[in-house]
Amino acid sequence: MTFDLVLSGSDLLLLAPEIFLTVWLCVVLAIDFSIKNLDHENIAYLSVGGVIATLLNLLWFDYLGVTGTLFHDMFVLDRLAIFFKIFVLLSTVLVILSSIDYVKSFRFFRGEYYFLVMMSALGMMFMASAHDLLSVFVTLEFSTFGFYVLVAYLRDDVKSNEAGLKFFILGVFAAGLLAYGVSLVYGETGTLVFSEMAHTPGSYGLAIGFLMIFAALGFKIGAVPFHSWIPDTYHGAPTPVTAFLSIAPKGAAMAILIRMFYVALAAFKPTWVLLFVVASILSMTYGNIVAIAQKNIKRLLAYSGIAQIGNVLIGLAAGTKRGSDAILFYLLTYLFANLGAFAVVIGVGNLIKSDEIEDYNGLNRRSPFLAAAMLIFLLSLAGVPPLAGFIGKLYIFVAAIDQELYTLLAVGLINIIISMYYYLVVVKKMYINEPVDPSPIRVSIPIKTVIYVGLAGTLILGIYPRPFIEWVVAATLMFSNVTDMVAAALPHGSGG
Amino acid sequence: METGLDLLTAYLTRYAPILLFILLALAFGVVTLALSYLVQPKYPEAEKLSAYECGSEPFSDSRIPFPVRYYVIAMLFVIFDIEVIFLYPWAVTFDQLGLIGLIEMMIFIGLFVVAYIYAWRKGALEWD
Amino acid sequence: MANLIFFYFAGIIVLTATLVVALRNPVYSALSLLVMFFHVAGLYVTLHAEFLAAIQIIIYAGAILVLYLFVVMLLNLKREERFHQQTLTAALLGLVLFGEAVLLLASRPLRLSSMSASSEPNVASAVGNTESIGELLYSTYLFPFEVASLILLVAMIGAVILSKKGLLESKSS
Repeated sequence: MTFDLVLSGSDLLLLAPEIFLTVWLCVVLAIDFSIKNLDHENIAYLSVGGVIATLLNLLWFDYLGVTGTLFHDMFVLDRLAIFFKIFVLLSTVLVILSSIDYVKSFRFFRGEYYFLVMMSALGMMFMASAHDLLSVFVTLEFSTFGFYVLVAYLRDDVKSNEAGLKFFILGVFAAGLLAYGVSLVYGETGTLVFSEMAHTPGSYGLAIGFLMIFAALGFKIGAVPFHSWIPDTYHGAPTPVTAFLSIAPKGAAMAILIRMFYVALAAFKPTWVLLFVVASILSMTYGNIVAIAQKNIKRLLAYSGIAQIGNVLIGLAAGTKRGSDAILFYLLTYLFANLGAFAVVIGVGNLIKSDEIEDYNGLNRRSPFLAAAMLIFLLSLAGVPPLAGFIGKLYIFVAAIDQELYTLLAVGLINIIISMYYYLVVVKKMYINEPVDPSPIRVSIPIKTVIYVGLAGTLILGIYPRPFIEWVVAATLMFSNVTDMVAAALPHGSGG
Repeated sequence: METGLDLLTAYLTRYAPILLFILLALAFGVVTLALSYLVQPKYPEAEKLSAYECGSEPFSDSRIPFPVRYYVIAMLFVIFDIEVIFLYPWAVTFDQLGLIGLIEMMIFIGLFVVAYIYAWRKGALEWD
Repeated sequence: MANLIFFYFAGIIVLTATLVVALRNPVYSALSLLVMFFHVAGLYVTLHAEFLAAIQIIIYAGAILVLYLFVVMLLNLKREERFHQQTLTAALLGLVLFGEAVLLLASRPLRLSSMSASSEPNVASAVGNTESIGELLYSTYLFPFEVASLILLVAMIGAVILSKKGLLESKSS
């Protein structure tokens, strides 16, 4: 055994976005603790600047087609990784912008808030590149650590403390499951790298191991039956943190799920398709039915998020190249609609100090802009044409039809109708009910920016989706042979 | 031919001194206590067992809640403990790792220095 | 002989781990955990993982257990009955895990000799356990190693925020 590590300059280039963001983070932290009485808004804009610079770097990489692997295939930068990194960073920018007013209500540790948000984003960028089970474990924990602190950030608020504790205990339990699953898989295959596992024979140990890893990742994305932490954590956490938690970790965990099931477990597709069919049906149905009874807008969005993840899982249940394309596109539409809706909730919540749906009565009188924006975001979440959500759902359903998953399709369509009901209840309250307090609601510029970005994304993805579809198709190009691998593994071709 | 189990036994016999040491330490405690219990004269009386001038009856539980400050210290201790553990295999293999190993560890320690200065500036190392 | 050693360590681990959750006094639970940590370290030694055994004692028994004890003292827990009411859930979960273990063991013959690293004792004795860990950790596993330093950075700042915040806010109000 000798020391073998060769790192050239071009290898380090692959890590450039992460290295840049790490340095930027440390500089932001150093500025925060060395300059007394610095306005936290400066820190926020400094953070946004760093994240946008990283984002541009990644877009440039995507344009040039920079790809490669590092550290014996543990870290991989392909177009899928670049897509998810851009996804995470885009949501980070929007979350930081929508946090600025909220952070004013903190009395201490304002600058650190942005540091922790960026730190979690960095962890999720690493997750998007993780290509072996050890890096999956380490990067997943890294990104979750920041969230543990962020969820419990409101020290005075009992709900926030409770949310932090629940999230922490269940998160640590999920980490334990993940570690146990990884150890079982390693014991069966003797390797941790996904691409090296592709040709291992099936066994109980492998199945149980991957089931546990799936449970841990299911916890991250909030799929039923691993969703129990979601409502209370979303409810108690500071609203911008809820917004961040509802989108970025789901994207990063989906990146790992796609890699794991498409690369390492491609040969066992007929088995794991069933797993995703069940998880998808449960998530959609449970999320939508329980959402109807919600009185709090954050809980409503939490349950709607569970249902949306059910829709995303349809793509994995299809298990094809088109399925993965559809997942990427769907997540993109969900990012804009979901963060837009949360920006409205933050904007309203900052002024009226309440997240109850009752208090959205007559929002149209108080702020026509917020009400109209919320209307569009909710309709996109429900999947109404010509908005982004419609194209996303269509894409996912087409992937399901390809694989003749008609049961899943039927359940998905019924769920769209159910979800329409509770989204429209909110719309009715905003437009038809009379406000108790008709004073107008003023929206600050950063939140307005986030809402405009959300609106632009929702409309452009809905009306002119072609360039984005081409982008996601290119991002998953490496999976174009995924069905062939199944055919090769099963000589009699009974998959599907 | 030696089997794996024989080899393992041979390997574990190297730990015999440690086992002996543990047994000796245990025996020291047990024997001292047992011996003093056996040879001491025992004439218990109510007056003799009560607290005399040099003490008073305990009036509350000895388990008082610790201030949260201890927790901060313990937490920082754990983190630095882990850092030091990482340094040890690095030091052992330093001659083979060369310059790149030095850079790796400098990055690692650099991030710790950031955290350390932060904790210092925020007063986490002060008692009040 | 080697089997005897393994079953001694494994038996004590199972016993003390059960005591951790079964004992009513949290301080006793923590001390039972301490005994368990030492026996896990012993098991590592039989697996030729001396460095891991040392870490087990220094980090777990030396630092993390102290942290546990501080938390127990901080919360001033005495006899806790509240947490012993989920016997049914625990039994069900235990049954699932037991079934899983049976399934794993039944799917392949149990070879005790292969459970220790004794099949290749020369590697460890020739290079030295710590050195081989160092060589791997700082070359092949460099990526998780550097991410670990970031995790520790976040953990440290998080610990300062969550604990100092309460002190600052109680002082200012």
